[in-house]
Amino acid sequence: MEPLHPIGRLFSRIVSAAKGLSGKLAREKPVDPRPAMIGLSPSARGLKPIPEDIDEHLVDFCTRYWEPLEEIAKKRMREVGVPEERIGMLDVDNDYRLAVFHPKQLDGGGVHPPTGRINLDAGLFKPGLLAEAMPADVSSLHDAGRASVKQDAIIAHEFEEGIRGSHEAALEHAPETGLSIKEEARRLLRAQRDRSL
Amino acid sequence: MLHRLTIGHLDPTAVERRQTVPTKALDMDVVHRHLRDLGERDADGTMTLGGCKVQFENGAVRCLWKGGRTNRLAEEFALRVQKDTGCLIADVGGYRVIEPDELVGFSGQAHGAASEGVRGR
Repeated sequence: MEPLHPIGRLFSRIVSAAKGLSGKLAREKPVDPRPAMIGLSPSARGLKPIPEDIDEHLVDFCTRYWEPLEEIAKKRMREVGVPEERIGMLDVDNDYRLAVFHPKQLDGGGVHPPTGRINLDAGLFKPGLLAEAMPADVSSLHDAGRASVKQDAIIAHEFEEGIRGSHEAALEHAPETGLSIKEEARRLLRAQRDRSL
Repeated sequence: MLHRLTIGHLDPTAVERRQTVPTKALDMDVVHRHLRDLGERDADGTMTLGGCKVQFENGAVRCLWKGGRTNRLAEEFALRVQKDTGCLIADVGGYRVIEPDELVGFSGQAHGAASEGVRGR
């Protein structure tokens, strides 16, 4: 066999070195990704949320995420069958914009009696929203519900209040509303009616 | 979903816009006198009417009125403060001023029955 040309030898050494290096790299364990957080999470360290007050926290959250909340609430009102002319009300806390979700109010929802226009608000996410208003079992049933169920229940209550003109009439008729809300929401509304009227 | 009574010297046109705009502060001596008579203190030391916290804001007073049962104690408190100060009663969230004759308070029922609270049993 004819000896290799010096350049050929150099090339074969480079190739064998590259093969060795790739084999070594393949045998090494993959490096773990950097942790998303160093140390314990704030809640595990006993730190409180900012803002600490639940109402302030809700208003802050709902103000920051207003746009997706607005879209979700508007879409759901249309899906359950609220007429277009009753969807959303002027939000006095935000330059009178016409909005379905009012992030600075904490009542669950509202209705404008002269027009029947309805809105949801930050109270939708408030634990214990009904704690002062309803017996403990009804309040805890409401708290345990998913946000989508509570959303349906509040939409039905406000819609019926807009149609019938009073809170009491809304309590009475919301469980059998003509809107196509979830069955779980009807159960919440029945519990509210049965323990209120 | 929830309705609150706001009691104070409020601008009625602002109420129709769902805003609480007091034109002057309530006489707090009158407020506290009626709260001592009708209210209770909860575990936090906050005054309550029918089990509902009383909130003080810009010289006005606010308390839950309707959620489940109507809070007759809050109604009675509102009626007494209105009678003594000539102030306005409003459901600001409901965009409207409440006339005193729309509220029942203790008329037609014993004080004890009203004291059961808005939550019922």
